[in-house]
Amino acid sequence: MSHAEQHGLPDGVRKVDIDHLYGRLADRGLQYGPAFRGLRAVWSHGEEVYAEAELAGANGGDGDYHLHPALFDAALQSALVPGLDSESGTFLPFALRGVRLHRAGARAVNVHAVPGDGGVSLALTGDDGEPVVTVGSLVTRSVTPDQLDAAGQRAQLLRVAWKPVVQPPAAADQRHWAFLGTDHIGLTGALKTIRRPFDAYPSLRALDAALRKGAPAPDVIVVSCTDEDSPVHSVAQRALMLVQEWLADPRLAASRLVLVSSGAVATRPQEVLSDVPGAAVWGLLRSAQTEHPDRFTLVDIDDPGDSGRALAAAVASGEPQLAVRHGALFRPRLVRRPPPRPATLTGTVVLTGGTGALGRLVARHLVTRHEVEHLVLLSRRGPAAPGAAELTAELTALGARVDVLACDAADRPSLERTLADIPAPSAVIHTAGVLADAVIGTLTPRRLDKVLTPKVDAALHLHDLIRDPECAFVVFSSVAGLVGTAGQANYAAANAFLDALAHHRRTLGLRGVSLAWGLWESEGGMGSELSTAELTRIRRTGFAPLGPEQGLALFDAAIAADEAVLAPVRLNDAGLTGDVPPVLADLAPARPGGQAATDTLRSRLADLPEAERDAAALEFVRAAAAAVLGFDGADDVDPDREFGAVGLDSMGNLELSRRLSAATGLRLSVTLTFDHPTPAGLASHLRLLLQEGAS
Amino acid sequence: MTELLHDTAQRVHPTDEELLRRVLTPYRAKRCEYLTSAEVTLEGDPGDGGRLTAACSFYIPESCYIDDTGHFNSVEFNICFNQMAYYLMAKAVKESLIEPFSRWTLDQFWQRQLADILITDFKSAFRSAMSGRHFKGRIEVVDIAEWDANDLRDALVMLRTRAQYWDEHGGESHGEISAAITNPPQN
Repeated sequence: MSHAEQHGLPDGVRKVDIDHLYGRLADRGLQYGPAFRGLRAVWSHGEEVYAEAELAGANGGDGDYHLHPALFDAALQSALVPGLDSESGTFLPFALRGVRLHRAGARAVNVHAVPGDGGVSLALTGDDGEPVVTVGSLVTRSVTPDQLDAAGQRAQLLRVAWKPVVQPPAAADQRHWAFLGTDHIGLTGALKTIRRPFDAYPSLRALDAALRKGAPAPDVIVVSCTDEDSPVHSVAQRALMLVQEWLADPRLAASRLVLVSSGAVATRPQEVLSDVPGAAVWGLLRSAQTEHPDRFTLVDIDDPGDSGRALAAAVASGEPQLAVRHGALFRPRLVRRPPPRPATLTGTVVLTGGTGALGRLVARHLVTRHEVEHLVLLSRRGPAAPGAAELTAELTALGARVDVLACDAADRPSLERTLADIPAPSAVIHTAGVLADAVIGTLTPRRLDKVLTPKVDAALHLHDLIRDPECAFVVFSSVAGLVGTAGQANYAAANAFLDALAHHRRTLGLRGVSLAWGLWESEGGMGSELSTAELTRIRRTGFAPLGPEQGLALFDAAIAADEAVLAPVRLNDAGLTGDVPPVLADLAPARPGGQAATDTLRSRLADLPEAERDAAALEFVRAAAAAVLGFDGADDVDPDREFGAVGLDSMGNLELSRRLSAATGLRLSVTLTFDHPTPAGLASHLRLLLQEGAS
Repeated sequence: MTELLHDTAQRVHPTDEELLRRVLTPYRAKRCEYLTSAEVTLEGDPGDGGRLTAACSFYIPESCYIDDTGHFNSVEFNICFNQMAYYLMAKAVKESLIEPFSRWTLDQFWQRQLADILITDFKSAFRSAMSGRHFKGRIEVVDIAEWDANDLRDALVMLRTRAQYWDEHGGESHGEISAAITNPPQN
């Protein structure tokens, strides 16, 4: 007797091969593990589906659940069968209505799925034919593999947005100020201009002498960190020395050290960086701030001579990192950035660190996914590096011309000779780098230089030697430089410098992008020496390790973006809700119950002439989507790009629906962004609904 | 004279009698030349995970500052440490073992030996009393930090070291000592 007869199936049913079914689902990006492969037999009959589902062996079904989620999921999978061979993408369960549980504790069910107008209805029955669960309607929606990837992995591009800070009232600060060291940029003059009394100590020795004589320790000590004549190693070492002296001297335990730079950070794309080395001080101090909160303040000032009032306000604000621009205060915040459409690299590409773990991964990617014909892989050991021969053979077999050259990019003459012997590259990718972690109190100049040299010196030489305005210039930096990872002040310094250098190149009319990577999973890469405890610590700061595929997809997106610094990272949303560094504070997932005011869009449109209402509705939708996505503002939301392509997941869809419902007073469908997948389309839809409501 | 051990890439320098005599000159008048031998071993680079050590022997015929206490005390710990450290630095200069000493001349070292080398942090622990007049000691350079001069502070070399003493009767003491070298030669 056949199964069909056994279950009383109608004539003409067609058996669906289970392996084929899960294979097809996997092809479309839906990888079901063993515990979720609960379908045992499936038959299709036109658009109807019959199936047998049961729990895989180890899954408990009795008592723990009214209905085990894996069993229910398997039943829902049966509803996906008719769409499997469709060209319009993969369908996923999207919304359930009218779910009724009739009997608890089932371990196996027979499923009958019947499509109707409002979705698919499902009947789950036991072996005795009695109902277990019925589902009034299951709505499915199609998703692309990219959307699945974005939703499942939370890998994304972040960028730094400098956001205004409200200035505290003047004259509230009665603290005792001092200026330490040489005033290269005119800060003492600025303090005198606002009649701020302060002591001046030309050196630490002078400060020490005063304290020995009984002078009270100043509450605020300002030191200038911008000195146009000092190279990056020197300014970073000076800042490190100062931090260590500060931490080691108990007399200064209640004093706040304010390190002031001018032109070391860029708050806008076209801002000229007059102190690129100063960026290393910012990176180093960010780590110092993470390790020792409330001891150090970083301020970057556009016009130091006229900055007295703003400097006083910056200190009074209590913010750890600030930029003063035209007298106003701004603080850095990482925000999500919509991924651009990927670009393709071609021609000759030079890769430093080319035989390292990350370099190998990128090299392979450039040949397989891009159209790079000639790879020049630089590393200190060149062909003698472990695995170099195998890599060359592999890439050559893939059709590329490969030169593995022994060249220390930090050695200027060597780099110059090497670049002179190769065709003009279409892109240079600087991936070289080493770690020498230590808490800031024990970091030495040697360990600082050890990290700075391969990253910073090499990048500077490449910057000097690559002057073709068409040549892509990609430097691999780390989110450590933006966040200020504890125990990595040297690494943070080096990477913050790379970020600034990429920006600097763009202001010179050259190309430049710094990718401030989160941690990679790759074996043998920069994260490979981290212990489990360290990885846990990193996760707690809001990041999770990037898988190779995720990282490379973000690489493709980031090099196409027209921005100097992008952080390709994988966020750990759970970690973002805890005590995170301030720069991550705006990334916490949007929570339901936000500040969407009721009927705001309706009243706003009512106040406008008809001709302006479409634009206002679109602006409103874009702003709401930006808020849900964690973008900086409406400008980051392209009116014609699909929500799914810029990272809106199902939770985000619900939140956006909720906000727009509140703003319009309309009951909006839960499938809102699927039915109207672009901001422009959704805005038109809302306008239509509001007009219908009005008439 | 240098002996290269093949397996470990260690460079071992037996006691340099002439250098030892010169290092201990300031102690001669006070009759407290305690260090009798010092074998210096360099393994890698202490600034980068390597080790510079000296295995030493001492003899204290009588204390230079107090009647016989019957045991090795913290003052003697300190004097012995200084002698080990001075010798190790002098040898590092003479044999160009590690930076920054490899850039110095011995004359530059002798000029700074007393005035410019200062202990900045001293921790010692005495696990069990050493009673003998003859004992062994060991010093290890854990880290060297060479700081450039700038507007805020003069140039400075910081040494972090570990020291240990023991005798054949089971006596043992050890400590962690940091020293600063101010006014380092700008070679």
